[in-house]
Amino acid sequence: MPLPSYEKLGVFYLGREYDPATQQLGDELLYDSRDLTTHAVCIGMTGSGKTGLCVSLLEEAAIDGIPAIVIDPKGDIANLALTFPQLRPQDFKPWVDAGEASRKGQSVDEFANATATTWRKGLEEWGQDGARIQRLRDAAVVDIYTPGSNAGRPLSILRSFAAPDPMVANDATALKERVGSAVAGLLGLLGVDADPIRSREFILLSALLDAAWRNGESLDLAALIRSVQKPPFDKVGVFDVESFFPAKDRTELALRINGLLASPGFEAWLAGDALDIQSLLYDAHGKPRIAIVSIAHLNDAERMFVVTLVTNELVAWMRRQSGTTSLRAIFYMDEVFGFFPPSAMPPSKLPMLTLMKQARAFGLGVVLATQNPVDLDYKGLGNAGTWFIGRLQTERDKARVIEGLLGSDPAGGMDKTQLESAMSSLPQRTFLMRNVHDAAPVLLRTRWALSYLRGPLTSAEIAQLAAAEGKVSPPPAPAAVTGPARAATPHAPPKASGSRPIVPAGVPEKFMAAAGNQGVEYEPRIGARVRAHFVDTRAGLDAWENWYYLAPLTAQGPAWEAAEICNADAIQLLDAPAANATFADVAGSAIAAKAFAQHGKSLADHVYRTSSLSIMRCPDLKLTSAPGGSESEFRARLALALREKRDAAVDALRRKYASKLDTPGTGRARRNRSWCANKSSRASRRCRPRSAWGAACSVRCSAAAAAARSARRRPPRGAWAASARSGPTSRMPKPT
Amino acid sequence: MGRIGKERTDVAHAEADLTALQQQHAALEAELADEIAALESKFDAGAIAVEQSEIKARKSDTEVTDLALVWQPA
Repeated sequence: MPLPSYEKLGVFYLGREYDPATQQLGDELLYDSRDLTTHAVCIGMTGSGKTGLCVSLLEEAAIDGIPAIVIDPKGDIANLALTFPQLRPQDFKPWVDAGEASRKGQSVDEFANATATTWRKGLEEWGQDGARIQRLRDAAVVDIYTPGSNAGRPLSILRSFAAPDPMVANDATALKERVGSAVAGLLGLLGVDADPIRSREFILLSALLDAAWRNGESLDLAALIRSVQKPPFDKVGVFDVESFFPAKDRTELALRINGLLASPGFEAWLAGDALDIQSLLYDAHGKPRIAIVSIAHLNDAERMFVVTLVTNELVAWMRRQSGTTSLRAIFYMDEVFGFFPPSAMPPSKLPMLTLMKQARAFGLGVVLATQNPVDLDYKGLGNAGTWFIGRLQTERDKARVIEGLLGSDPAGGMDKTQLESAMSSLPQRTFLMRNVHDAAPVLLRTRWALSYLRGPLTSAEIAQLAAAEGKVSPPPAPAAVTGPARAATPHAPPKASGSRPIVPAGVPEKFMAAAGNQGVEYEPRIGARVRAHFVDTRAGLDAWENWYYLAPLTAQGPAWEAAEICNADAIQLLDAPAANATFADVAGSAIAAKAFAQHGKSLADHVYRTSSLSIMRCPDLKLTSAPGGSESEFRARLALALREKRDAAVDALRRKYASKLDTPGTGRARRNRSWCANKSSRASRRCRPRSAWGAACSVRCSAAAAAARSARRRPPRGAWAASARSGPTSRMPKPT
Repeated sequence: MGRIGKERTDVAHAEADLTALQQQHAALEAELADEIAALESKFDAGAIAVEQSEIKARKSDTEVTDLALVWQPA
């Protein structure tokens, strides 16, 4: 069965073009997914249809296999989890508003029935059906995370202030940003002023995190409290620590952080999935995920803290990715008011600004939605390639948007008056879409959402949804490096004799650190570092793995099959034992110099026999997973590689057909027809009068096409844009 | 043939040309749609095959260092 016309490669079906003069809908509006790498803002007053538009955009991304991280301060976007392919009344029943049913004089059953019918009809009107909802469900998982609450999936926000990637730690600016945001978020949570210049608390905590992270150490809150009391450095700037921040005051700060740690319900902040962006974007099997981080249940300080940490993690994740021109993932934030303001500097602003400035190169599209344009920093607005502008209420809001449209770009030939007029008369679900890749704005009527838009979900409803859907995705898969077999059967501990045995010359002796320094009982082990080489030329793999083996020592020698195997870098050995320690017996034959020399050989043989490196490969794309990488990571890499190849193939097709379709004479033949079979085509979208009015301006379009090619822009999409460029509607040619 | 007749003939020819061009165009569009459809199946992420394999360590390159009697707290 052929796919619908909107179901094309790499495009998002957002709705249809809208002509305000005739109030008619035009062609499907297909948004090139790659355009989103230059980010988007969605602005519109309450009731303008913002949620519907943004939910549709996320649905389209999911269908295209693009994952998203969504911050949802209100609870609206959680509606993405309400997808019912069979569109049965009983699917809707638990979610319909009983109060609304009552107001309409209907029972809940009747109202659910009516809602199911409305949804089915709505979808049909927009050329969609339950099969497309199923397609959405098959393409991606939707999970709702509720940090600080067990209503949805808990998200461990505060388990540790994990050390950033070495790439960030070695970049002074990136590290400073990361430290500053984390500290500001924490201080915000404590209700402490976070001025980076004047706040002693800010400066001390920043110095602590900076020192730890430079050494690659992660700090949890308990470790941070200890560091506040006993900082691992003597000076802050030129002052010694005591002069800058006396011990008494530091204890007070430590107590405040401890108060946070000891507060009721705090354990919920430590439970759940780790805040790991890659695991949020893809499930354990590499299936794309829409990870909705719901913060509706949190207070303002907690919200700021969560947003700051999530955006910081995103920045760190982004910097680890390879560059791409394809859309890799989306970061969407609903109701961004207060998190990205024009002049104030809340802790969330810096990472968000970094994302807006740098994420494009890594294929991360940022979408911000708000009711008022004055909520957004002008630099952020300036970095947004697509603006969706819905109905605005106040003159101030309109002026701000018009200023932005006219200031950043010629607005497709539209002047201030035309823009004002367009924005004041926008009906519900209608947006002025300004895309820098198009030559002029277009009016868009949003399509019917596949998800049931029932309004904000409460924590109780999120819990109900999680229970009903069994939405507990499996935890991330363990790393693929299997290494040698680990200890299976515990060996009986040797008898303690008390005194330290005499070890033959030439046998090195080491001691593992003990928890206390008194009354330690030592048992003998044979330890060694192992470096193994794994080579597979067919897979292009050449990797070294390092382990530390620690085997129980028996009379026959070390039991390598029962050895503990640790990360070689993590093991720390001392040259001297703890004071007053006692020692277990050790078989003399096992540590005789001659026998001891054989232990290395037997270990090498054991490693060769038992160790292997598990890798995944994709013959079609000729890609091999990184040693230690998870299936999820590998599948995400494959998906992006595939998307890049697909985009390149589509571009090649466009080039091939553009010359054929642009032959003289065919310009006239374009009239009254849908020109481009693949509307994702940047080239093909450059000149494509979609309606009669658009065709009427084909001469203008042809002229514009040449300019657009050089400017990599698409000329006006449809009738409304063309008429806006040409002046009053009455002067335009009549539709044929 | 008079001027009017000639113009009628021209119009008929132009219309025939236009029809031919439209048909040619429609054929091209159909061809493009077919090629796009072929791409869609070719780049289906869900259908991509992944193989799992185990790679053994190279015996000659396995290095053991820092062999020691290690005392571990019980």
